[in-house]
Amino acid sequence: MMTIDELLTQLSDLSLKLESAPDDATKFDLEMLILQLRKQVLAQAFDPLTTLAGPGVEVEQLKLLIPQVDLAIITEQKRVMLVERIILLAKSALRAAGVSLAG
Amino acid sequence: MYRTCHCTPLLLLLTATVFSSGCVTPVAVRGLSAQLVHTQLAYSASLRGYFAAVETFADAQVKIADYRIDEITSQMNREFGRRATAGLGRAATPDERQRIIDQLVKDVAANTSADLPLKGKIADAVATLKQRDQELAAAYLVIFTASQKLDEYIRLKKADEVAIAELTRAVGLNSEKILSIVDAIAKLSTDLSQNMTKAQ
Repeated sequence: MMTIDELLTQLSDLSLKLESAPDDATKFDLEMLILQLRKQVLAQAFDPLTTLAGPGVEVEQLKLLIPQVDLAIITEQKRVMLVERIILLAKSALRAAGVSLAG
Repeated sequence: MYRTCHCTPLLLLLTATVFSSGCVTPVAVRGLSAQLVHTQLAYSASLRGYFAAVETFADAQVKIADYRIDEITSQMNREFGRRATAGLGRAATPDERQRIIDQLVKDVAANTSADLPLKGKIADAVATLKQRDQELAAAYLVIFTASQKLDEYIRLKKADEVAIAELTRAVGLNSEKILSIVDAIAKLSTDLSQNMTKAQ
C-alpha cells in the first residue's frame, strides 16, 4: 500500500527522467497529476486534526454530582453552625460553672 | 457545692458536645485539596494559553497551505495555457481554435474550483481542532468546579477546629438529633446561668 506522499515521490522521479524527452500529452498529464497530488498532500497534512472529532472527556457524572455536593455543603454549613453553637454554649456553661477553659 | 450540684449537667454538656462534633479534617488533606484547586486553576490558565498558541499556529498553517495551493493552481493553469498556445499554433481552422480556447477556459475553471473542497477540508480540520479545544476547556471547567466544591466542603470542617479537637474524642454525629441536643444544652446553659446568678 503506497501513500500519496510515496506515490508523489515516485511520479516526481519519473518526471525528472522524462525531462529530456520531447513534450507530449503523457508528459503533460504526468506533470498535472504531480501538481494535483502536491495539493492533496498539503490538505492531507491537516488530517490528524479531523481525528480529534472522536469522543471527548466525559464529565456528565461530575455535572450530576456537583449539585449533590452543593446540598451537602448547605447541610454541612448548618451542622457546623449547630456544632459551633453547641461548643459556645458548652464553654459558656462550663465557665459559668467555674471550669477554666482556654480559648 | 456549686460544682458538685452541677456535675451531671456539665457532663451532659460535654457528652453532648463530644457526640455532636464532627471529625476534624486532617490539615494535610485540607492542604492538598486547597493546593489541588490552586494548581488546577493555574493549569487551566496554561491550557487556555496552549490552546490559543496551537490555534494561532494552525491558522498560520492554513494560510500557508492556501497560499501554496493557489501557487500550484496557478502553475497548473500556466501549463494549460502553454498547451493551449501550442495547440492554437497548430490549429488550422477557426472552429479548431475556438475548441482549444473553450477547453482552456474549462480546464482552468475546473482546476480552480477543485481547490474549494481541498481548502474546505483544511478549514474543517482546523475548526475541529478549535471545537475540541473548547470542549476540553469546558470539561476542565467542570472538573475544576468539582474540585472547588470538594475543597469548599473540606474547608467547612475547619470551623472552630481547636475547640472541636479539645472536646472531641470520638467521631459521632447524628444530625437528626442535633436540634434537640442544642435545645437541651441551651436549656442547661440557661439553668446554669440562673443558678450562677442565684449563687452570687
